[in-house]
Amino acid sequence: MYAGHAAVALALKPREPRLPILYLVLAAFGPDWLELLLMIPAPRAGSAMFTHSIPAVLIGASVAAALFRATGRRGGRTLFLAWLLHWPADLLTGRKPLLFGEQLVGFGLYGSPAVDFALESVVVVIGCALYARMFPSRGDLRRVIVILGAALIAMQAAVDVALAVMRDSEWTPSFAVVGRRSHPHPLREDERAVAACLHFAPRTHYTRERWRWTVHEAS
Amino acid sequence: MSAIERLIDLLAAKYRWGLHPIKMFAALLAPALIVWLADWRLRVLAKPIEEEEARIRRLPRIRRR
Repeated sequence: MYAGHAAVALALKPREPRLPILYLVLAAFGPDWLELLLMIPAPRAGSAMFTHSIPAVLIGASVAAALFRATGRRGGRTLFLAWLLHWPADLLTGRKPLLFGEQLVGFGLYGSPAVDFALESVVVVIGCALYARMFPSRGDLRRVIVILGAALIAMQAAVDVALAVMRDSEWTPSFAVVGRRSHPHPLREDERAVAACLHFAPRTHYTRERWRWTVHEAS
Repeated sequence: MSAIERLIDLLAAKYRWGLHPIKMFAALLAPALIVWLADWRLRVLAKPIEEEEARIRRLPRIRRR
């Protein structure tokens, strides 16, 4: 998620009106800033494991909240929440690691830029609406908030256009790339005999492996 | 070619387009600046009203004196 993170910061601002919005936005983008820091020496694959996995997000949020609390100001809990909400937001649009492992999980809406744009626009509108409740309902104030929302949506549109044009992307959510079938494929004649033999065999890991091996060999 | 342009070229050659740290830095900084600017403008616009409200709240005390 891109503009959506800023919208999360806007939505959290009324919880702690004295907390500067800049800190909230920085915390909402916190894992991305960490990823950028890790990229500076040399770009490497798999750095998301140290910035965007659940343990990394928890550690990052705790450190950010503790550092802010050390300054003696209130709002550490809101900063913690802003950092933490990065993970569920990225779960919708990208594919991020769950734990310190290779497997990436997520709906991967970046692969479908139009849907991503629609989702993030809705998040921005909701964030701006919650943020607007902090201020009196006056025309000049409303105008600034509308411009803010429009600017965030325009930035998101630029990102989604770039995604659509440059990558020629295809929607591949993590659940689609895992090698599972929703239903068994029909057996051929020569496979049926093997299946019948193995039907009564104990269902151990070894049996399953043998079945897979036998079927592959038969085909 | 200026020193900054040479530095950008050097970095662009070192990093692939998709992982360019300068691009990522700009992409992360832009929303933060926009939100901060809007928040500052809102606070400036809302301030006279807050001051007026504070003045009105002080009025009864002045009357008591």
